[in-house]
Amino acid sequence: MIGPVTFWILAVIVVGSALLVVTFKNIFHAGLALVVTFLGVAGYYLALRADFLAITQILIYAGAIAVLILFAILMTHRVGEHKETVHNSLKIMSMLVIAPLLALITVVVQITFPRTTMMPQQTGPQLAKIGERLLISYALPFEIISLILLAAMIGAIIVGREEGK
Amino acid sequence: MGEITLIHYFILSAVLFCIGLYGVLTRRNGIAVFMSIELMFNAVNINFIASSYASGSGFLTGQIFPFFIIAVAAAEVTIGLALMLAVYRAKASVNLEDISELKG
Repeated sequence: MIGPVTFWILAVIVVGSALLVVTFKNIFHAGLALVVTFLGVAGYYLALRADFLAITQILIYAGAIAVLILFAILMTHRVGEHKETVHNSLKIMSMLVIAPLLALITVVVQITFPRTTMMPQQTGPQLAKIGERLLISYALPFEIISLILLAAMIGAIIVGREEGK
Repeated sequence: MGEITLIHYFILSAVLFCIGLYGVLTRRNGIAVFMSIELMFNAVNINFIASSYASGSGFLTGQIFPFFIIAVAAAEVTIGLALMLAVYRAKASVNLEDISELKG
């Protein structure tokens, strides 16, 4: 069930930690805020009855991608590194570009889509049915994604090698 | 607040997307740009799943694409961070201002 309380608590968590991600000067703190954002988004998936995707989000995003990002931060961190000197003009120009985009999206969405209430779904566990879809209807993208992951692994190993190895 | 409609989820997704976009445009650390791109991916995923929930009959089909988005994001982070490490080895910095050799 999606009650307003759940939605707004998760909204505060997700949007608040996303703002912290883009504003923290210390990049390690930004990485930790990113983990909180991922977990908040997983909470949204649970509120929307997508339990398999919620678990996938926690496992892959918060469990692998965020850890990978934190490792990369640790490996590329220089002690005494000059902090990011972001000019105020850059921030203001970004806001000038993004604020109309956000306003446009908000207005267009409210005009285009009817205010359909989110009917509570009588759904059970998703895993078996998603597995059916993946292996029967969407078998080709499933195989292609395995090739993509293989290519990404090989590429990362080659790119990340030390010289002369 | 009243009922939570689909519009709420769309606006939430748009806000998260714009926060990620602000991070991509503003941050100077290459890995911070990666983190902002991941925020944008998550915003799109929320949009997909909220739409599939509201569509009723397309609930299961609408979860397949976010699944693939998560998988492709994992592949992209792998290669992107390997690239960042290679850049760090070459330039001793991941600050975008230090690796702008093609500029102007």
